[in-house]
Amino acid sequence: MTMRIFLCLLFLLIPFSKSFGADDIEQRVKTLEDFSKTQQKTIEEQQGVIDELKKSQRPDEGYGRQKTTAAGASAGNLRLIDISMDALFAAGGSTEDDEELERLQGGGHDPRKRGFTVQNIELSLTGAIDPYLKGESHIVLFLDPITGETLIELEEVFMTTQSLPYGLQLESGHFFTEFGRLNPKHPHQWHWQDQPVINTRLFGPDGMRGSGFRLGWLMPFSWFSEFNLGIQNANGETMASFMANEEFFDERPIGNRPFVDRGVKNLKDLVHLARLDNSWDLTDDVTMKLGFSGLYGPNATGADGETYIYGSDLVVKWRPADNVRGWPFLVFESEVMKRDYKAAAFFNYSNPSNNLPAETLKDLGLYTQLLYGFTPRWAAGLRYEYATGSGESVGGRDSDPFRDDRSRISPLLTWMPTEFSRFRIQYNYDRADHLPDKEAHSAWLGVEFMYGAHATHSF
Amino acid sequence: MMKKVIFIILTLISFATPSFAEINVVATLPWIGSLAKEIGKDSVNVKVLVKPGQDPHFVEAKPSMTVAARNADIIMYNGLDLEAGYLPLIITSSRNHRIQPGQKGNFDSSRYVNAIEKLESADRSMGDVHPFGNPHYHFSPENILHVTEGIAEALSRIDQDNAKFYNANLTEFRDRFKEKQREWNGKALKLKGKKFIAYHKLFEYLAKDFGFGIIGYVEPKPGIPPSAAYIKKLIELIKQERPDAILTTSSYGLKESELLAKNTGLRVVILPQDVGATDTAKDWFSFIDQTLLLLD
Repeated sequence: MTMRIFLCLLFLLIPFSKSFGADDIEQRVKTLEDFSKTQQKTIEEQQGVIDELKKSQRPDEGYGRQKTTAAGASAGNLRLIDISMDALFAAGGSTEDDEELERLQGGGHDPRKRGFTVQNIELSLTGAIDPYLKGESHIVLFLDPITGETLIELEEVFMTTQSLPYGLQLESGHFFTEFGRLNPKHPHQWHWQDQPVINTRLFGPDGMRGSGFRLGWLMPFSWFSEFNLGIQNANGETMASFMANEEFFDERPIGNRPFVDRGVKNLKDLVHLARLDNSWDLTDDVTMKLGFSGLYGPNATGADGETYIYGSDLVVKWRPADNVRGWPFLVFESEVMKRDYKAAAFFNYSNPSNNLPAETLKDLGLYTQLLYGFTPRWAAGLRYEYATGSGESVGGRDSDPFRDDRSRISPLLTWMPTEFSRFRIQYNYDRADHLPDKEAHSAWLGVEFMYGAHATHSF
Repeated sequence: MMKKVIFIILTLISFATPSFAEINVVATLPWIGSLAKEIGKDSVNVKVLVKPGQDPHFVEAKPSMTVAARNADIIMYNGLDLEAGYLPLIITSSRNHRIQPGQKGNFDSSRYVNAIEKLESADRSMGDVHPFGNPHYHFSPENILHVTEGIAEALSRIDQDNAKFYNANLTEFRDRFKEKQREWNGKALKLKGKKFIAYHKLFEYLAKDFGFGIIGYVEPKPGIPPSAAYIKKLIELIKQERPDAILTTSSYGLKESELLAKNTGLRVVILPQDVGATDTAKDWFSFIDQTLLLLD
């Protein structure tokens, strides 16, 4: 009985359930469609957010940052300091002995010993200080060729502004004086193994450098034109033509005068620099740069002693656009410079016969060189130098190794396996009044290697 | 009278002030300049530093490049340390705060790229390696699309008034890209499975995107010329594998590649190195067109 009633109810319910079921399915489908649309909308919104986030994760934040990895994870790479070490060694010989070579090869980083010379081991540290300043330091070590003593030089430590307006840039610290083409360059940037004779005479063995500041103005012209004004201390062994110091003056006296110390009383007691640099692309392959420099400052001959140095430098480079690793190339460089060393009068009260009148000692010199990169990795060059002067000198100018009449011819052959190593062979033929035979022959084989961060080189 | 004078002055000022100032773009490489022009069109003035046939690894920072960078509103570069030998000096000496790292006007294209061949650690015994990844991604359509999007974003950021214009040009670029991609995909089918020798690691992105293989290099290590012993080994490899050709460009080891071709009977395919390197490769699209045509 119960079973019959149950079956009747079931049959009665089926038609109802059918109609009810159809409505329900439609309703459910509609609900699902609505839900799907809502989901789709949510997905699209979220995709938009993801895209925005992706964009915000790749701002163009500048050179050398770590990139987003393929997996999307980001690895940090805070570039705090770039370090590099450049080592210059030389081996060779000369017709002159080591004592004479000290004077003949008067540059502090020249090859200057029969046998081996550790010329220049330079540690360079560069990096961004903050968004406004960049820092640069160069510390040099070398061995005294005679005593073998390890010597250290604080070559340069300075900061440079990055964001001054109107094309201005301020350099402040201890740095090479921006005079001419070669003086501001480090020894490993020179094409030849030794510094030109006239640079040694006017700027001393280690180049002219000092503490101070320099303001550069990149002028708003259609060509490259930069004007520099600088002020530096006049004293120290790296200020040879100015105040220098007593020890240096004793070693390389100028004009047979005693060293007279004088303090800094006003701006005239510091060294002042002015330099104008211009450059033009003569063609796509040929670039020329022409500079004029002037220096003024006190010298160590007395209260009225002052020095003026003037110079002009020219470089013309040819390098075709379709070069192979920088080859072939042709570089012509020349610098001429003149020093007016106004020596103050010297009064020797105990022995008036030793009195010296005020006198302007003039020195003049030039170097001109041509380097031809004739096939990848190889370059050959020829340098000619001349230096002369006038006025009093220790024992007469003809016997003064740093003021006599002198000329030098230096052929050079360079092999560079990569930009990080270089082998050079250089021959120097000297004609100098102070030499016993009036001439000297020297040959130097140079080895250079560099490792660490590769610094960019200026033109 | 005074009113007339003021009116004339104001009129003159309104004529003198350009309503549509050009944005100065400095691009290191021709392909970057070409893409900047595609997006910026007449509203940008593009100056390219490196010549189309020039090896971008070995460029000297000329003073004229500093002058160009001084006037730039934005500097766009390849990145991945390709320009490490000259670009930092150009940016620093330009004294232009707009293009210093971290500024809106300093655009590193590689930030929009999925770089390949990244190295966990590297040193110079491995040759001229790029630890952040292979820098020659301008052969990769997929990556270049992202870089172009980045260029549109960057231009819109520094020139907001013309953002719609840049985005419209990007849309146009995308449409053209899609059209070209279909064409290139057809060509890719022919390239799939082919094997090549390359002089330098220039074509890895091209190989990845178009499915061919590079089985060896004329350079034993990036930037290091081959020795006679190495070439001997490479000739053995070529004999075994029989690749289709040697790939290079006019400024990468053409002489060495031709010598190897002479000794092995392979042909040398000289691909355009960059936009403008050949008369046909006038823009980035025709650059890829010509590359694929030469590979065919």
